[in-house]
Amino acid sequence: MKPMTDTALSDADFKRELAAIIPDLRAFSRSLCNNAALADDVAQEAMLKAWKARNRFQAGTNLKAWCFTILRNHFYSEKRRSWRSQPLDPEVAEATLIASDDASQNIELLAVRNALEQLPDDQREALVLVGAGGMPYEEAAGICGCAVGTIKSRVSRARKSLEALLNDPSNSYNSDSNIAGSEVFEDIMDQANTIASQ
Amino acid sequence: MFAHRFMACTCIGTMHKKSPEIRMTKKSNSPTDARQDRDAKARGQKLGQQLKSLYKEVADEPVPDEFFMLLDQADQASKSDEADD
Repeated sequence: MKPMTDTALSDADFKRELAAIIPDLRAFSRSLCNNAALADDVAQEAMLKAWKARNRFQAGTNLKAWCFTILRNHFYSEKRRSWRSQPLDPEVAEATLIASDDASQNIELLAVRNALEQLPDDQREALVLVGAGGMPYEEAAGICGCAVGTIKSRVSRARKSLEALLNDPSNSYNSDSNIAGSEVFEDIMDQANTIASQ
Repeated sequence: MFAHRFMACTCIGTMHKKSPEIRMTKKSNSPTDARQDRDAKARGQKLGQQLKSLYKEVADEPVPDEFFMLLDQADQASKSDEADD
């Protein structure tokens, strides 16, 4: 029998709470990997690691932040080098394009996703946790293992870089340019062909 | 009448003093500067919404069954481990 203390959740409770945060694990993982299939692999592995370590989780503390820490550590320790070199998943790009009826909005979202991909890792993860995931600075700092002030400055620098990238007219995905949806699709098909021919 | 007008003036005066926009936009005297500040703020807000959309887009996807299968398997495995103890 495993030791049960006041601060431990029962297996059934832990399982239920863990299952409830899978959507967040997938979203955070996707922001790290930028490739849907690989991101789900990382999210699954993190979920199983969290399950195995469940006796170390203290009930009443933030399970999402705890799991994000596991996911992040797992990603950086095991997968980073090989996975970051993966090309942008064409399916992700296409899914973004068809996500809503408003084509121009979709293209802008794709532009943000691409620009996000160009940020340094530490800035991107800070911005994703705080700006996209709505996590408090303190929790984001805990997950990334740095001071709150560091997270704040990373978020601020990330926002500035992102805005600069999106407003740079030399970037083809500049949201202000009148880029046609068909051109984006062609670009995606080119990428897909490149991947297929590798 | 007079009292009302006086109060209205006081209110506007106070609002100006407290407004963070007025305080933060130092020396933005020209209408162009003010518009640029407004545009920058609007762009920042839009970017914030776009970032949230990107995250939400994935979080709102249906979770693939594989996740629940794996979690069930892990749960079953730990139950049979306990039974063996």
